[in-house]
Amino acid sequence: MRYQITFAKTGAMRFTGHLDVHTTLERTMRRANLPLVYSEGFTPRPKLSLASALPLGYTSEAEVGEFWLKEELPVDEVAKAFHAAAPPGIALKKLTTAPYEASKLQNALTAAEFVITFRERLPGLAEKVGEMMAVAELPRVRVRKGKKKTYDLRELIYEAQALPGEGDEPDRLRLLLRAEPNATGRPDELLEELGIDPLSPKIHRTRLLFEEIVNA
Amino acid sequence: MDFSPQQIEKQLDYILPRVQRPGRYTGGELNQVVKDWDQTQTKVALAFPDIYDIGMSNYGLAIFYDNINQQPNMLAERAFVPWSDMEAEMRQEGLPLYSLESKRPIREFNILGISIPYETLYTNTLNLLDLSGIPLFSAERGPDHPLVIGGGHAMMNPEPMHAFLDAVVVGEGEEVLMEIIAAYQAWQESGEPRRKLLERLAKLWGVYVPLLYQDYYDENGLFSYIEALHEDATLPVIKRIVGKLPPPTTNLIVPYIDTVHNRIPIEIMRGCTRGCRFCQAGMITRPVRERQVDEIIQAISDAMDKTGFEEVGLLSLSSSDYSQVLELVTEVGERFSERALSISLPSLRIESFSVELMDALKDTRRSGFTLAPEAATERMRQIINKPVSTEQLLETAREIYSRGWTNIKLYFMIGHPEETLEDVLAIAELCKMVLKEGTQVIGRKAKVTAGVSTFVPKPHTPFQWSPTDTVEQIRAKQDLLRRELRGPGLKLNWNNPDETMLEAVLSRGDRRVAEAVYQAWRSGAKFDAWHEHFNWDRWLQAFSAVGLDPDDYSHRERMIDEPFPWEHISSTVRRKFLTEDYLMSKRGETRIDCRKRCFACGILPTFTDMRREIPGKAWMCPELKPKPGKKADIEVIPVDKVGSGD
Repeated sequence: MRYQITFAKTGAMRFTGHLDVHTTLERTMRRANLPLVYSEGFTPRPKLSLASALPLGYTSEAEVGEFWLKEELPVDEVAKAFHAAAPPGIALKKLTTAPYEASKLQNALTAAEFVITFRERLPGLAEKVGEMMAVAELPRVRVRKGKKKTYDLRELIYEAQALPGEGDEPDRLRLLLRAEPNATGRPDELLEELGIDPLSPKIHRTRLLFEEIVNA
Repeated sequence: MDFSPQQIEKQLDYILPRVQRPGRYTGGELNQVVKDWDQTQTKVALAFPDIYDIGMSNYGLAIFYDNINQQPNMLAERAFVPWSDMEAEMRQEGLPLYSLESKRPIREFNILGISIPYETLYTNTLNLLDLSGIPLFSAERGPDHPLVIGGGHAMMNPEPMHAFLDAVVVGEGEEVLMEIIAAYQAWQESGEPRRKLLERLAKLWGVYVPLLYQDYYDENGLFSYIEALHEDATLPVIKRIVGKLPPPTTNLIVPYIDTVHNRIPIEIMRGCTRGCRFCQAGMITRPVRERQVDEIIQAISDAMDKTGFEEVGLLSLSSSDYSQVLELVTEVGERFSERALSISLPSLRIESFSVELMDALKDTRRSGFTLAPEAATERMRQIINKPVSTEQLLETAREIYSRGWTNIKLYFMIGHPEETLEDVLAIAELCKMVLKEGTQVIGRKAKVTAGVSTFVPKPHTPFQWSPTDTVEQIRAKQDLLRRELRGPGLKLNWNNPDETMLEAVLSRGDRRVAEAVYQAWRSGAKFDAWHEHFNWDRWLQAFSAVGLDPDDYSHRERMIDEPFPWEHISSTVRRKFLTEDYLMSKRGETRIDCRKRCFACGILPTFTDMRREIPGKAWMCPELKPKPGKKADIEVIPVDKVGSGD
């Protein structure tokens, strides 16, 4: 039986990398005594996959994953067991049976929404964002495994909206970025393009969109 | 003046996105314990002087953490040293070392307990104190500083670290740590000066207070003797043991990030009866005590429920010698294979029984099978008292390959006393013979990995008199192995000879070496166990600056009656026994497993009463007759429980 889980990743868990999040979820389900399906072979791994790796340091309220159980257990029961066994920093938001039977979760993903909270006021943020969205192309270079690759940042941005803080509130920025295999927008790259230190603000993922057409 | 937890959190918020693996510095993991700081009388920081990834796998700290936090009027929190990038950030911001649980500065704790299992952690220990803002020297600490305690195997010769530790736990910490805390609490209530605290501690069995002793040297600069400066400072300080192993700790923290041993550790047996002469652990962890199978099974089950770990390590110095090993392994395999638990059973003897054991574990990986012949010629194995025949090794290898394992890892040491180049060459030949067994069974899939480390003589062992090989000797032997051990299916790993030199100098150092440790740290030495940080030149300069010759510690063969600077620390294995064993090794004579015959190493005469209280098979030492003269004590021991003589 295949289930889909949505969970929040907060607190100290934000510094747990993608592989270790897998391990953390696996251990949670082991503690919950859920009958995970394991792969065959030399190193049995549970059948568990996450829609999208969250960069280290980001928090999220919308991480989505899938897992398989040997038995067909009621959704409520699985949710209750998972909730009770979850470690600090992982909170169950939603549990259903898997809706995307045909395709892999990663392939069904289309976009991700982020909210960035800055430490200080950023005068002119809205204008800068507006200028960025007005251009047709934003060519940038990404270095991966020692290889340089040119890409267009602009086509990875569906929406970018400055949210000026009121009173004591800090400024924020809401982003809707493309998240398809081989076409994933990264908030840190966008911040660099805006001339903002990407390590300074708090970046929070608020939504993952699946099999939905997003109008750019 | 000090940072509050909120201020530290705020600083971390800024720093952590900028360092590698920030998950090392956050705490907050499942099963960590955070108690009410203001309502708790005594606060203990438990530290390991290396990074989180290493320190979280330290079994002793996990035990103490649980034990202390189980008590109502005390708490324990963790600290590890930061990697160099984090250290630079912390120093720049003036951020002190803090505990992972409540983010309190370490210097605000009452007691700082540091686990020091090996010598290459010495400079890190100094760095840990410095990052905490605690004076490095015990003599410079005042009433507001934490009590700094060290423990762990390397502290069986604490002298190179004597100046930096207020007290040293000699032997097993389970009971004595609680007594130290109780003595601390009594002192807290007394209002006495700090010196009185040290004197209170010196009274405890298994606690060494270095400040209460003075060292002396002869006209040639050789260690002469040590003097106790206070009536409560005992000579010698006898190691502490627990008569019966307490139930295993199952309240284990589950790390958010990967660590070196990311699993459930369960100690099945403490000590070893084999008496390998190079092995310090085998000498200093006597007597052999076992846990019962049902206790182990229960602990694994509890720990799985609490942690969800996918692997358990069944720990001991020699798994095959655990008396109920087949029963244990069968039961574990049957009970837990459903829950996809993988089991690691290290330190198996070279015999086909070991292969049966691994089979019973239902280990599906079958990737590597590790055996440790330690030496390749029978002559050499007699010298080190690990007599295994080459024939038996080859037979075991054949069995391993035919049951599906493709890679055999063979551990050897070079630099054993009396070793010649022929003995080293034999290592290469033996590896090839093992590989040949493999290719005959499974063809070219067969592999042999030879891990060849360099022997360092350790205090409290029969080889404590022996010289360490020089760097030139080691290089010649390693060159030979590199030349001979090549070809398809063969792989060789070895150690940097300079790192061996540091271990050699520090392990048999005296009090004067502490000054060199300090100098080395001042000139930047830290993370000496890490290749990317280790710098032998820096150490050589430090020794030269304090006027010590490192070669004298590492390469000089000690005179048979020479006093040793660590002998006021007693492992209770007597010098007489060690001397005999050393002389026997020179004659190529071996001693059999001491379960078959007691060689009066010194354990029983020291722990006579304890052995009487805990009769039967809980200890592998022979049973003792009831106390003479005390009629009430005499009872008939049932025949099936008498002795261990099989």
